[in-house]
Amino acid sequence: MGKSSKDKRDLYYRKAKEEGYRARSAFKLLQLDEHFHFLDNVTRVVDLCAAPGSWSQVLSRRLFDESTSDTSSKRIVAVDLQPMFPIDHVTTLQADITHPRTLNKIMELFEGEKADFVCSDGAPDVTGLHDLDEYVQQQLILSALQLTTCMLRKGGVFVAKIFRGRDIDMLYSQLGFLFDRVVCAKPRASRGTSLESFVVCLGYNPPAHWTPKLDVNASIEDFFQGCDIGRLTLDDKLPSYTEEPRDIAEFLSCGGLGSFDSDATY
Amino acid sequence: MVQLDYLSHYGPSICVKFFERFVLAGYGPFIHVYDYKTGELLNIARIFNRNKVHGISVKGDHILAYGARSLSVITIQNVLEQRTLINFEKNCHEWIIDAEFSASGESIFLLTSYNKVICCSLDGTVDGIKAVFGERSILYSGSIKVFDDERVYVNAGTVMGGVIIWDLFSEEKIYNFTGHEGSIFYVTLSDDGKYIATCSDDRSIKLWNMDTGELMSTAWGHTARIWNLQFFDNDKKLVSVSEDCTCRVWDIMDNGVVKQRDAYEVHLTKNVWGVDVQSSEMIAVTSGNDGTLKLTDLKPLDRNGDEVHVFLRNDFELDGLKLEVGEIFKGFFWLKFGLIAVTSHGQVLRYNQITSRWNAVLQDEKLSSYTMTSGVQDIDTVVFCNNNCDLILMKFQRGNGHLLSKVSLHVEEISKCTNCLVAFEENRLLVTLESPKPSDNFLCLQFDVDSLEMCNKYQWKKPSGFFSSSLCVWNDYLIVGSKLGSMFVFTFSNPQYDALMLRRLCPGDTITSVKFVETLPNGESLFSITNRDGYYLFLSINVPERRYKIVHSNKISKGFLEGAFYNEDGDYIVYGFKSDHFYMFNETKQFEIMSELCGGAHRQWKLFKNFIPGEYVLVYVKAGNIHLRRVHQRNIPQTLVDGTHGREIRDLSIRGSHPYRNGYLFCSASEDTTIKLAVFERESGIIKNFWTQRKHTSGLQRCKFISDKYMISSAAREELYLWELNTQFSTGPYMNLLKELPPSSKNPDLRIMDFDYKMLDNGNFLLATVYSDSAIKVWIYNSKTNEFNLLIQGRYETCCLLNVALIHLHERDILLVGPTDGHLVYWDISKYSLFHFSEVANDQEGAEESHLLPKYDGRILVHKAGIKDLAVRVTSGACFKAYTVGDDNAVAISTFSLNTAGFVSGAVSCLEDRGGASTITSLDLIEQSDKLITTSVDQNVRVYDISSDGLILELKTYTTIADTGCSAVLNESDKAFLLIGGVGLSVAKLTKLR
Ligand SMILES: C[S@@+](CC[C@H](N)C(=O)[O-])C[C@H]1O[C@@H](n2cnc3c(N)ncnc32)[C@H](O)[C@@H]1O
Repeated sequence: MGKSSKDKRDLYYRKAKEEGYRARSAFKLLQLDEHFHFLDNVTRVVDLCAAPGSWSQVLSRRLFDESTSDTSSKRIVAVDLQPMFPIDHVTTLQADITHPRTLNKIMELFEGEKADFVCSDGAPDVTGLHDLDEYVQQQLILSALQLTTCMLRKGGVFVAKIFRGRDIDMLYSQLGFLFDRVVCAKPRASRGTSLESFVVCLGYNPPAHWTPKLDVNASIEDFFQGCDIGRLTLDDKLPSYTEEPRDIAEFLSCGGLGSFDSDATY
Repeated sequence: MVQLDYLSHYGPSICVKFFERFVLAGYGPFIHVYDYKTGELLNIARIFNRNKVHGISVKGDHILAYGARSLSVITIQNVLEQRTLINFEKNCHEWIIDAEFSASGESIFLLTSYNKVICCSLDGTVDGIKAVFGERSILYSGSIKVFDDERVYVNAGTVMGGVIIWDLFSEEKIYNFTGHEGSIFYVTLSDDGKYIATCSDDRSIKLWNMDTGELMSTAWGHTARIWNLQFFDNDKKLVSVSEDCTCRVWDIMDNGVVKQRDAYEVHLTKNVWGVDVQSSEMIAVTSGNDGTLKLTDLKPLDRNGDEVHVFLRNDFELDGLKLEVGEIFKGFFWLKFGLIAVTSHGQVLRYNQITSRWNAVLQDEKLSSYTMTSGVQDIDTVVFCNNNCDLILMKFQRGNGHLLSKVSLHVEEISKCTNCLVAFEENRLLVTLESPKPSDNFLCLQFDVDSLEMCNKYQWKKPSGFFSSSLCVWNDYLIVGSKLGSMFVFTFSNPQYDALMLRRLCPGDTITSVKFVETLPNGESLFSITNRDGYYLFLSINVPERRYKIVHSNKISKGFLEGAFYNEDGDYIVYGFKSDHFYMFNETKQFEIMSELCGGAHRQWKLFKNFIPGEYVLVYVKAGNIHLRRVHQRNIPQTLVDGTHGREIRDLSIRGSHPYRNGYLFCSASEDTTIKLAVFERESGIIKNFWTQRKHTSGLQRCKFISDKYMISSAAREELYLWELNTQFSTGPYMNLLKELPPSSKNPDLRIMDFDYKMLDNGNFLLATVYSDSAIKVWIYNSKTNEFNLLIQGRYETCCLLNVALIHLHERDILLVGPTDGHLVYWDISKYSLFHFSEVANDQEGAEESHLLPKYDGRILVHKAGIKDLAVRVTSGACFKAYTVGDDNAVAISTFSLNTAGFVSGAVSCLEDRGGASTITSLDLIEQSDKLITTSVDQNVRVYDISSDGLILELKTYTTIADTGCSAVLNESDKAFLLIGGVGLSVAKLTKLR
C-alpha cells in the first residue's frame, strides 16, 4: 500500500492524516467494528501483521480511552515481519507469524490468559502466479487461525483479511467448523475494485474432541490434521481427487452506504 | 436444459519440458504436446480438475505432473492419446513445490511447501515422510535431485532468503546458504553434483560449490525477479527466465564465475515462468503469462549459417585489391551472386558468395566522395548516383555476377542531387533524383531493364515541404514518402496534374517505407507505410478520385521503424532499430524474429531479401568493415502456440453482425494497456490475432462494438476512443482510431468506467459515459463532422460509477447508472435527448452549451456493494428489466416501468444473494433462449433460466480462466458462443439440450 499520488487524493488517506492514523487501513477496522461491535468490552487482543500499526492504534484508543480506570488486565500485542514504531499500550513483536515459535512467544506475553479478539490484516508479496498467491494468503490466514485456536476464548472473535479468489469458499467452510457465524464483510474503505475483503468470524466454538497442539516441527497443515474442519488429511495413501467442502459465506458491506467511496477519484 | 462445451483455452503456461521430439507444456490444467520440429500440436490432455500444471517430470515412459495440491502419474502414451486424464489425479494436503521419480522409477518424491518430502509409490501409497527438524516456514521454491538410490538431495528456497540443502534419507541439513536477499524463487543442483544455482527476489543468480558450500559467484543482468533456472550443455551453462520478459544464457567458467552470454526478449508482457533447453540442439522453449510457447534458437549462427561475416581490410588485400588509407565503404547492394560495394575512392567491388572472393568491377572518379547506392534485385541491377547528378547503372549476370551492361549519364535538368531513389514494377525501372532547390523539378527517369538505356523522363513540380525519403511505383502512379509524415502521389501519364498531397499522416517525421498491399475492385488500393518514429499505417487511396483514408494506424512498443511487409504466412513483419540493435519483429504474432547489435541507425545499413522466401541479409558497416548477417528461414518453428495478453483481460466484445472467415471478430481489452483484434474459429475455438493496438496509455476498462464497423474503448486518464473497423481487404481486418472523446482537463486522471450508446440515423449516436468521480456525461456523435458534442453533464453523488445504460422506452430515454453503493439510479433524459435527435443530427453548427443533469428521478437499492455488470432488456412498451451482478456475490433482476403519468419506477423482482462464492464480474443474456450467464472470480460460470422472471440455476461449470473478469456472448439461431476472459481467454459453445 504505497503512497502513490492516487492515495493522496483518496479521502481516506486525508482523513487518516487528520485523525493521526498511520494508514488508511484504520478505517477498515473502524467500519467493521461499527457494524459488528466486536470491540465493545474486549480487554485482550492480538493484532497480527500489524505494521505500520493503524489497527493497533484503533485498538489502543478503544481499549484505553480516558474513562477506563482498571487497565491492569488489558493487553494488546502486535506482530509483524517489519519493525513498528511504538504505540501507547501496545506490545510489539517483530516476527514471522507462520512460524510456530512466534505463536509461542505471543502466548507467553499473555501469561496463559485467553484473548477476546484476534485480527490479521496480513498480505504476502505477490508473485503473479494466481493460485500460488492465493494459497500463500490462505496459509497466512491459517497461521493466524492456528494462534486463534490456541488462545482465543470461547465466544471470541477472529477477523482476517482475505482475497476472494477461486478457493475462498473452502476457507469459509473450514471456518464454519470453528465459529458460530462466518461473514464476509467489505468495508467501504476497502477498494471495490480490489478483491480484498474481511472474514469476520463470530462466536469461537471449536469441535469438542480436538485439542490444538503447537509443535515447532509441525506445519500449519499438520496442526489442523486432527481437527475435523474439512481440510484434506494425509493417510497411508494419497487420496484421489476429492472436492473439499465449500460454502458461500453471507456478504455484508459495512461503513454505511453514505460513507466515502474508496474507488472514487477526484 | 443447456450444455456448455469449452472449445479452447489460452492462458499462462507455467512449465515446459523437452522430451524426445516433443515439447510438453503445462497449460492451465492441461498438458499440450507438440512436435517441436514441425510445430504440430499432437494432443491436449486435461490432467487436473481444477489445479494448474506447475511442473512435469519424466522417467522412462512415465510422466509425473504436479501443480498446487494435485499430482498425477501417467504415461507418455496417455498424454499423447487421451483428451482427459483427470481420473488419475491425486491430492496432497500441502502445496507441491517439486516432484521427482526415484532413481529406479518405482517411487516418487513430493517436496511440499513446508519443506517435507512425501515418499510414495506410483499408486500413491505413502511410504514415509522426510524432513529436517525445525524448519517449517513456507517455501516458494525447491527441487529434488536424484543421483541414485542412496543419494537424493533436497534443495529448498525459503521466503526469508535462505537456501537449505538437505539429504533426503539421512534427513540431515548439509548447507544453509544465506547470501540472497528476499524470497528464493529457484534452486537447482547440477547433474554432475558440483554446483547449486539459486535465484531470488534480489534479481541475482548465485552459484555455490556443493563440495565446500562456498559461494562461487554472483551474476547480475535481469532487471526483475528471476523465476526459473536450469543447467544445460553438460552443466557448462545456465538458462534463466524472469519477470523482465527475457530469457538469458550464462556461461559457467572453469573458476565458477557466471557470465551472461545472451539475452533474448522471449515474451512481451510480464513474467516468463517456464524454461527448458534441448542441449543437443541448443533450442530453448519458454512459457509465460501470455500463453505463448516460444522456441528460441540458442545457436542460430552455427546451425543456420546465420553467421555474421565480417570483411576485414586484410581480406581485400588477399584478393589482390587495395584499399587506400582513409578509403571507406560508401554503399552496397546485395544480388543473387553476392555483394556489390562502392568505396569513397570510387572503387566498385564485387563479392562472389560461392567463391568467397572479392574483385574489382570499376574505378570511376565520379563515384568518389558523395555516392548514393541502390538497385533492383529482381533485375540484378545496381544504381549509383553522385551529388553532381552523374548516374551509373550496372547490370550483372544473375549466377556469376559478370557485368552485362553499364550505362553512365549526366542529368542536366537539376543542378545538384541530394537524393536518388529506385523503384521497380512490372518491367519498369525508375530512378528519381531530387535537388535541394525548391524551384527544381522532381525528376524521374525510366530505363529499359535489359539495355539500361533511358527510355522516359518525367518531371513534376515539387510541392512545398517535399523531401523524398521512400518510393513506391504502382500503375500510373509514383508514390513518394516524404518528411513531416507526408506522402505525395505523382501521375506518370499527366505530369501537369498536381500531386495528390497527403500531409501529416502520422505524428513524427520521415516516412521510411511505402509498400503496395492490395487493390479492391472499386479501385481503392491499400498501402502500408512506416515512419521512423515508430508508427505504421495502412492507407487506402483512390487516386483518380483523389480520395484517401487511413484504415489502420499503430505505434510499435519501442524503437524506430525502417520498413514493414507481409510475409508468406500473412504475418506483418516490421523492422528497425532499438538503440544500437537492428531488429525484425512479427507484429501479428508479437515476437522478435532476430536482433543484431550493429551500432544503431546512423550506420550504413540495408536489409535485403535473399531470394528464398523468409530469408534476409542485413549488411552494415561497423568500425569501417562490412558486416553481413544472414537471417535464414528457421528450421524450427518460432512459436508453438500464440497466446494472448500477458495480463488480465478486462473486457471482451464480439462483432456479431457478420461472421469473419470461419468465425467472428472480437476485441479484447487488457490491463496491459493494449486492445487486440482477433478472430475465433467457430468449430475449434482457435484464436488468431491480427493486431495489438497500443494507443491507450493506461489499463483498459471497457471495449464494445457498437455496430458492424464501430468499436469504442475506454480506460483511465479519461481515455475513450472511437475505432473504425474495415473488413473489405483480403489481407485482414484493419482498425483505425477515428476520434478521441475530449477529456475534461489537460491532465485528466479520471477513469471512464463504462459507457453505453444509442444509434441514431446516419451513423450518429448518443453516448453516455460514467466516471470514477461520480460524473455522468451524455454526448452526441456526429459522423459527418466526426465530433463528439456534450449534451448533458452532471453527477450522481460522490461515489464511483461502474455501469451505465441508455434505454429507449416508449418514446422516452432513460439513463440508468450503477454506482459502487449498490443502487440502480435513473433519470428520464427525454427532454434533452429527444429534442436533439432531429436538431443536432442535421445541423451541427455552433455546438451549444450542455444541459445540467438534475438530481436523479429515483433509485432503488439492489446490491450491498458495487454493481459489476448490468444488462437491460425492454420487455414491453412500457417496461424494462435490469439484470445486475455485484461485488456482494448477488445476481438480481429489477423491473422498471412507466406509469400512466409517464414517470419511471422500479423494484427488485428477484435476487439470488449467493450467486457466487466471490465477486460476480460479468453477465450476459442469451437472447433466443431466455438464459442469463454469469462469471465470477470463484471461477464458475453459471447459467440461469430467466424465462419465468425468476433465476433458476440450470448449470454451474468450472472455468479454467483465473481471475475471471469478463465475458461476451454471440447468439446464433440454435446456439451461442461464450468468450470468457481473465488471466487468459477461453471460448465455449452453449447449446440447448433436448
Ligand atoms: C496491509 S499491511 C497491515 C496494515 C496494518 N493493519 C495497519 O493498519 O497498519 C500487511 C502486513 O502484513 C505483514 N506480513 C506479511 N506476512 C507476514 C508474516 N508471515 N508474518 C508477519 N507479518 C507479515 C507485512 O509485513 C505487512 O506489514
